[in-house]
Amino acid sequence: MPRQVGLPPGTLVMLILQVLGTAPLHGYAIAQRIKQLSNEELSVEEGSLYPALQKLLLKGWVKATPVTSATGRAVREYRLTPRGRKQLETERIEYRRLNRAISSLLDHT
Amino acid sequence: MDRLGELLRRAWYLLNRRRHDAELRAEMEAHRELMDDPRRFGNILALRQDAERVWGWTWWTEAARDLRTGLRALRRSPGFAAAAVLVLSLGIGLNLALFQVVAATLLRPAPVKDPHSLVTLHHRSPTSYSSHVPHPIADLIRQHGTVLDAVLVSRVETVGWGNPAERTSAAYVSANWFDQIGATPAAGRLLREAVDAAPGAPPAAVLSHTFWRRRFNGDPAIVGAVASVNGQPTTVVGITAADVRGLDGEAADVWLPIEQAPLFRSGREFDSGVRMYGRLRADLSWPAADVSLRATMDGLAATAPDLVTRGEWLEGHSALDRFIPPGERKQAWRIVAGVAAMTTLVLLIACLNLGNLTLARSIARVREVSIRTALGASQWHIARLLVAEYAWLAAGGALAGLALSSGVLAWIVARVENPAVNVTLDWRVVVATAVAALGTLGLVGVAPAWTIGRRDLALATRDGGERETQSLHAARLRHWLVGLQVAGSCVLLVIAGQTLRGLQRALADDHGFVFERVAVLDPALEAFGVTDKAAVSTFWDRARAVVATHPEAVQFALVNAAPPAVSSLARYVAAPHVSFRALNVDSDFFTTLQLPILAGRTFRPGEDDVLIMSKRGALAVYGTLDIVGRGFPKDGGPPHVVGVVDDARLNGRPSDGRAEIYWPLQPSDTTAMLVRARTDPSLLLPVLREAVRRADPRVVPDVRLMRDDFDRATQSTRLVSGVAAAIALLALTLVCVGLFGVVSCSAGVRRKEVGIRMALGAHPADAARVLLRQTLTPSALGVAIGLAAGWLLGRAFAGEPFYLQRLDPTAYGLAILLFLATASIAALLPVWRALREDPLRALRHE
Repeated sequence: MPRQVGLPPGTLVMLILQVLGTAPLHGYAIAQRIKQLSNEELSVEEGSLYPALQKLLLKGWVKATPVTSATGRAVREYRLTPRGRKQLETERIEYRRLNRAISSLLDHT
Repeated sequence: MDRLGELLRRAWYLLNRRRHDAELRAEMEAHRELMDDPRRFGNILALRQDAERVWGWTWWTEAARDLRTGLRALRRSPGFAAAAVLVLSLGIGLNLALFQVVAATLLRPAPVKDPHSLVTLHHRSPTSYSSHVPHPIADLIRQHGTVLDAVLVSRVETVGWGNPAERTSAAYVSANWFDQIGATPAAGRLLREAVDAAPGAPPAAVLSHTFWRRRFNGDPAIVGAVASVNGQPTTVVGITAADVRGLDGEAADVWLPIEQAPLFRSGREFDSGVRMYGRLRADLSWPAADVSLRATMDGLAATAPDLVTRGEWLEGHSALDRFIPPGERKQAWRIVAGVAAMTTLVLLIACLNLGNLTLARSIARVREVSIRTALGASQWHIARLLVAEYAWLAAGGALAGLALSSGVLAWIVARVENPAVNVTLDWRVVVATAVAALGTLGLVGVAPAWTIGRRDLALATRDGGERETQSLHAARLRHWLVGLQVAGSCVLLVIAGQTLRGLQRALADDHGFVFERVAVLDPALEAFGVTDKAAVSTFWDRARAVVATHPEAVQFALVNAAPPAVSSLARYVAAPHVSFRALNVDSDFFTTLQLPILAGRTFRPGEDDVLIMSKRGALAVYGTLDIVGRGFPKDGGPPHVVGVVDDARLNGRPSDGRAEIYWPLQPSDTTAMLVRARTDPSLLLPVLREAVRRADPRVVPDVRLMRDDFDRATQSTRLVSGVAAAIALLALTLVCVGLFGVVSCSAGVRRKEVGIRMALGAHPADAARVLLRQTLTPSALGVAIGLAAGWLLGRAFAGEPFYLQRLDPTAYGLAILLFLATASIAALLPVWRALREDPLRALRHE
């Protein structure tokens, strides 16, 4: 099993918004999807996933709808709201800008 | 917008929290099931709590949980909870009652329309002060004044109502009265300026609501009927609403337009004083109006010098201040401050009692607390748990106190004739209740919580809390509490003792003369048109002749005012430091009332330039009772003193340090006749009525028993003293219970120590001394402070309405005795128990 890394600080919200951008998902699926899309490099702690989801609900960036999971359990599916999509855009730009800045600093020898 | 949305979502979450919680749990459980290694998910409960914290309601949940825990703890000791709520409700209720009375009498404006522009006007000159303004002056101001939109006047006088006539009180008011104060009719109409003040307007009367109910059983058919007022046929045009009263607190049965006064008063206008009120022009404040009114008065002094003297002015007092002059308001506030000091002290003692009690309880709970600590509760959390418990007690106490004070006040108001104040619940009282509850919480809860909370209690689990308990007891806080409580208790004991003595004096029927067998005839001659001197003298001669022949009448006297309605106070240049109650009496007064003559004789008929003085007056002015023949002033005269009589309480109130002075009565000044009965004074009432009928049939007399008058006159004093005594008894109980609790608890905790000392061979007396010293040192300090403060407070309450004696040795003795008894029993009981005990048992005692 490859060694999994925790998330860089401050990126969890962006990552959740990102994976929800393509399709509505429930909690477990969000974690799985992040893991899968990052080639098993990134893993989300359950302990931070749910507080983050509450924060998204509070901010109005996602909406939850009750559905039934694959195991027949009642779960909530999170869906991006227009406001959430806007937020994703902002965070993405912010992150890219920051990333470029750090990269250029690291490339400088 | 974002903020608002967030707020709404938070609120929505709070409302649907249960569903939200369930969904979150289901979601997490599903998540765990789907995982390859479910154990890695962690504790669902802890994760859920973390997630929920985001919504920002955790504090709420925790507070609610603390409160629930607190309630559960209290339910486990219902006796303690009930006692605590009871003690607090008494303390808080007392303060709220005071506040409600103050709110009703000093904080709210007078119950009139637009109180900010209505003022009462008092008649002033550099040397005189009167709350009444001569009616002609009020009339001139109405005609010539420029700053008042309206002038209102009122004057209460006796009238004969119906046929045969019965006496009722009438308020003559200007016809604009009801419009200006904003009163409404219960039926018919009230007086109207345009109708009833017009020249030649038909006589009109408005009935008060109480008179209508009492006299006519609330029959609406009375409106429009014609009744006889002083023999004048008068139409009843309406009835006032139930809450309409005179602005000066006087209650009248009938309202008549003062413009029509000559119709009812044998053609005479009012030429003496009336109560005067003014409605300020909308654009004027009182200071501006004051300047202009003074100018108007100065102008009148020039144009109408027979009515207005130069230098006179009218002084205004706003309806916002309930027409009370600043000096009297200050006086009232001083009384309030004094009473508030006492009631606050009672609450403080109640809180200290409870504080000590809860401290003792929390000490007993050291074990429980230490187990909680061991399970991971923070000290802050423990303190919060304790405060939550006290929050219930404080809230319960405040609500019960509010119910108690409202109930008691309603009960008192229902018992007072014509209550001038309307005690109701309003926002002020609600705020005061909340403040009382919070203050109580602070006083009772925070100190013990702090003491317990900041200690490391882990150790305590080991020995059952014994060691921690001891060190808590030694805490300085507790010493302070004991000292404070003892000091406050002493103050209350002294005041309580003085109040109880005051009540005893107020209830004592010994006025210095016989009033039980006296009947009073009070014909109010002026109101029925008997005004000139000769007519008055003739009237009394005839009346006397009738009464004299009746076998039931033993003796009778004429006076210018019938006790207890002796309000005339005088200070003489001859004796400027003595305040006298003055009364003009005929030669038979002293024998009629059986007021003992100590020296000299009574007046002789027709005598002038002589006086009789009471014992207290003689001692105050001359320093001796041997003053017959001496002048007044001491080294002058006439007048000369012809006699000295015993002190009498002419107004029925407890002695207020005033002396009595009696002057000879001029026949034409007579207003009342006092008749002593052989057996029963009520047999004299028809005789007196008959005497008046024969003397002058126009007059509708008032005949009554002096006993009833005194009952009425002392009603308020008895009520106030009774309430004060009830409070004093309450304080006394609180104090004794509290003292007992404090002293016996602090002694009881040291039983183990006594056991050890005894086991080591200490003499019982030495062991007892150790225990007692700890209790008695702060107590002694408290007693000293308490007695001094009690003396100061007693001085402050010497006058109206409490009449405490400045330095009442009996009260002091009583207080100290009670204190000593309580403290020693409380201190000795546990000592005695500890000494009697097998030392080994004491050692094992937990």
